Amino acid sequence: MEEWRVYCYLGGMRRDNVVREWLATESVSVAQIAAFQEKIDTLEMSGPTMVPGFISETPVAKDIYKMKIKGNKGRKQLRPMCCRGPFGPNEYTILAGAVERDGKLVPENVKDTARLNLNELRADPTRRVHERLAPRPKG
Amino acid sequence: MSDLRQDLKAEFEDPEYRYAYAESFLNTKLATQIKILREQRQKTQSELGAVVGTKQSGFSRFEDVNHSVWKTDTLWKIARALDVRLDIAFRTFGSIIDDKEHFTKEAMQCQDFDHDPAFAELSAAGVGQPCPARRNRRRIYSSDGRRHRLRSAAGGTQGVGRASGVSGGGVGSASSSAPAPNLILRANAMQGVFNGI
Repeated sequence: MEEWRVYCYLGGMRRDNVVREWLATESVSVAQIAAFQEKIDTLEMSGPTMVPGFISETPVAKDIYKMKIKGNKGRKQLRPMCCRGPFGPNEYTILAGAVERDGKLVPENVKDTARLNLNELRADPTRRVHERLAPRPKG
Repeated sequence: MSDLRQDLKAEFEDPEYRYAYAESFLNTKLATQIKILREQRQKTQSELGAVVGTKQSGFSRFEDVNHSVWKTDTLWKIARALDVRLDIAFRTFGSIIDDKEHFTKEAMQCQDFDHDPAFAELSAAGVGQPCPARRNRRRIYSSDGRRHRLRSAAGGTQGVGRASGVSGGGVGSASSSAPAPNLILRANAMQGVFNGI
């Protein structure tokens, strides 16, 4: 079975996982983080065809795709932005976080941010990390 | 793989996390297998939607891993449209790892009754072909889809219909059968029914 990898973009001084930061800023619930991680795990083990509907089939901007994690019962509609690769065929990199409210992405400029981060990543391949999203135990 | 086992062991210490993770994986499995089985049968979403009683857009939602509100009634209709049996089981959290290891297109595929490998040899030998009267009974059951009570071979009556799909080893076989444990939609949909005729 082909293994896939899903990376997270590192902002700042290559220390800040933008996905972790975004989940914390949005106060995303543990349950939603678990659902998000489950989709990533399945994608990594079985490939994108085994998680239909998780990643948009058509790009929302050039080279940028939308991930979809549904929020029920008043939870947030998570819409992180990602790209294929950009360094290998069997990988994705999550570039920026967003939520969807009334059919609109928040923040509005998330596609631009994702595009900017993708360019930064292409110039500096160390600007990404492969790690899980579950909240780290305190202490 | 051992990494995932270690990661999940730590993460599953939080009950909220493990239940949400398990629920999400169930949704992933259902949506993905419905898509795989539809494609295996070379049917469109519109075609199967018509059998299930929904539009193409409605059926496409069943093939989205974010779909999370499953009605048992709908699952039965989808199982019938795909000519497979529905299997519902309670499982340990640890079994998720095994399920994920076997979560491939090939493992998710299963044949409809006419191509069920469990009966292929018997069919080729002409064994177990129903007599015309029994064929009629089967036709009545298939077109109705509701509960019937049919006379069993022993002379008594036996319930067939929804209950037969859930009972009869569904839970046990789900945890032990390889290569695709915990398949929700399984082949041999009608086996329990025919055994009772």
